[in-house]
Amino acid sequence: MVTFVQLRDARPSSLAEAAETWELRAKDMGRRAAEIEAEVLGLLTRWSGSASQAAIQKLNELVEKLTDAHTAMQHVSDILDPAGRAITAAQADLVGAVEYAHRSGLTVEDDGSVSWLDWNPLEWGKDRETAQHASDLIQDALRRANEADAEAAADLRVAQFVAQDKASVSALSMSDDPQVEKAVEGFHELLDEAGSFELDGNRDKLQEITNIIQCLSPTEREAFLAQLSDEDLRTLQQHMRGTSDVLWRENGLPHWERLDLESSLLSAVSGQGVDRLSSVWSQLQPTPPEGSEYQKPGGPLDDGDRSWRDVDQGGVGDCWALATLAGKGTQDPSFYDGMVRPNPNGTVSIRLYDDDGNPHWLTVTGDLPVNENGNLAGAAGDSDHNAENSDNWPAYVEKALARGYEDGEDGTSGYENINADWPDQSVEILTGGEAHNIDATDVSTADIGRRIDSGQVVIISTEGVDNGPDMYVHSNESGNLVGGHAYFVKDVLPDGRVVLGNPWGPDGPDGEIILSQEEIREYGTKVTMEG
Amino acid sequence: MSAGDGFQVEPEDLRKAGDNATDIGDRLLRDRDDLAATAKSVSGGLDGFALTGAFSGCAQAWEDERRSLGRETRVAGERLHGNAGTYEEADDAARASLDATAGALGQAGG
Repeated sequence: MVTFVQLRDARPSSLAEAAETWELRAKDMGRRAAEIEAEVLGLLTRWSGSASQAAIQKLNELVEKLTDAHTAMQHVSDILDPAGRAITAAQADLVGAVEYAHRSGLTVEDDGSVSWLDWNPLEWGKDRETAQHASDLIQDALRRANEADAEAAADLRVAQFVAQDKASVSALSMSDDPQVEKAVEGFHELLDEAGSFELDGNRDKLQEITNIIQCLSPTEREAFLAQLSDEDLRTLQQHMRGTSDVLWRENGLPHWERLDLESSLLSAVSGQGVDRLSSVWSQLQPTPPEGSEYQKPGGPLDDGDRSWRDVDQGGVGDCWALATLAGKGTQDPSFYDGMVRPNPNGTVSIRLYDDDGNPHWLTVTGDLPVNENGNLAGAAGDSDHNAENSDNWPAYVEKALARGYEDGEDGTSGYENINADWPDQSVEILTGGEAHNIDATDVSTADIGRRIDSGQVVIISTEGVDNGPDMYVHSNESGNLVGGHAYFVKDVLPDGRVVLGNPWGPDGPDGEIILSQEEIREYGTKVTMEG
Repeated sequence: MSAGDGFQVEPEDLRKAGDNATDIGDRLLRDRDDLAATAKSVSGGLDGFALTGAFSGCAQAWEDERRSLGRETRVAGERLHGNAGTYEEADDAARASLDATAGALGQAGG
């Protein structure tokens, strides 16, 4: 939902500018179609025979696709333009309502509420009426902005699916592209070589296969995949996972290189390609939490404004990771920029880091683990964990961690693998920076203050307690401290006390607690810091 | 060049048509990323709006589609151009073969 501040500060003219660009590009597509008709097909009138028929049919199909693209891109422009006008009008009305309120001596808060301060009680009835009128105007403007936003978002999603459908059709017609043919040929040669005994192992062959795939465009990757058999894919996975390094003999792909190869295919192919890869490469899907199964969530990836407030831990014991996910964002909101990227085929790519701090885009399928009651089993974007209306980006980060953090003993990935760990591990995989733990008995809140002032995340782990009703290890006037849990530092108060946030989410009775240095030393075990 | 009812071709027409198609494909490929740039600009101007996420996905999908069409057009152009050469080579080869046959016949008759 668009808030008062967001509408007030919006720049809807960006939509009109975007609409103009899309209209120009749509016209370009139409022009290119006309050029093929005039400057290509027009020159082929003296060509006859079976080759001519095939070529002319292919060119006519291209003209048709370009004409379709012209229409569809013009449609995107037609979505953006009215949305921009509607939001501009709503914003103008909002500003007008605020001015009206100010002229009437009223105060408008950042949440859009209107209040008044009048010392004359006889005027209070009139003030209340004026405030109500101003509030109605503001709410009406917000409602109209939200309606325009929701309508445009729905129409743009349809436009996206139209493009994806076209891309998958294009991919089929590209299957005889020389680039793809060369890639498929190279793939088969390397796969054969990877299966035969080599003194130095097969890793170099598998790395060459990765290079081949990464050099292809998304459409080419789809065409490439279409030419591989299920057996080819199974053999590739078997080789990739067969890691063993003995002296100079290196087999299989190291963890992150394997994830890169899998992700480079999964992120680029069509929806059908995703389904096929998921069924052939069963390990693509991390084993879900017990009692849950994967379902496509109805809720959005985000509302356009990712915040630490979106992070709500679910039934997975990964407080050590989600405390970092929320905590880093409280000190550095830009941390979330570009961290989670939706792909046109419905998969989602998440930026994680290896032990050396190198970024990797780990791609997961668009479904999430859901309980019998329809709620997200793991992390969610709000406290009710409803997959239909939650901002789901934290759930995808968690899924990527379940898939990429480490393999289980049987070589599979799963949510079980991210149950319980120390937060320094999550700082490294989520931020790419180094982290260390110190004993809570050595902590100085002044040091914590300096660190968060410089945008660092600080995590405090609490001492364990038995599970059950006595889950609190400590309570004070500000709240309860959950035992065996990880908290992130939100702020350090002028008196040196530390405000801790709970990865269970900001809402609810246990969302926040304030501790003194002495309390941290007594009830904490480790304090995780960057560096 | 013609072959009765079989086929007829002007290789120069094919070459020119192929070059034109390659050029059209190149122009489609040249404009890439400007659609995605509009989505970034909108994201920056409309913080908190749901349409920004949907627009990003839409823009990326159309970038991909435009790139596919550009490449497809380019490949079609390269093949047309290549076919012109193939026809000419076939014609040359046929002529050379006939010349050789004629030479051999001449020798036999001499």
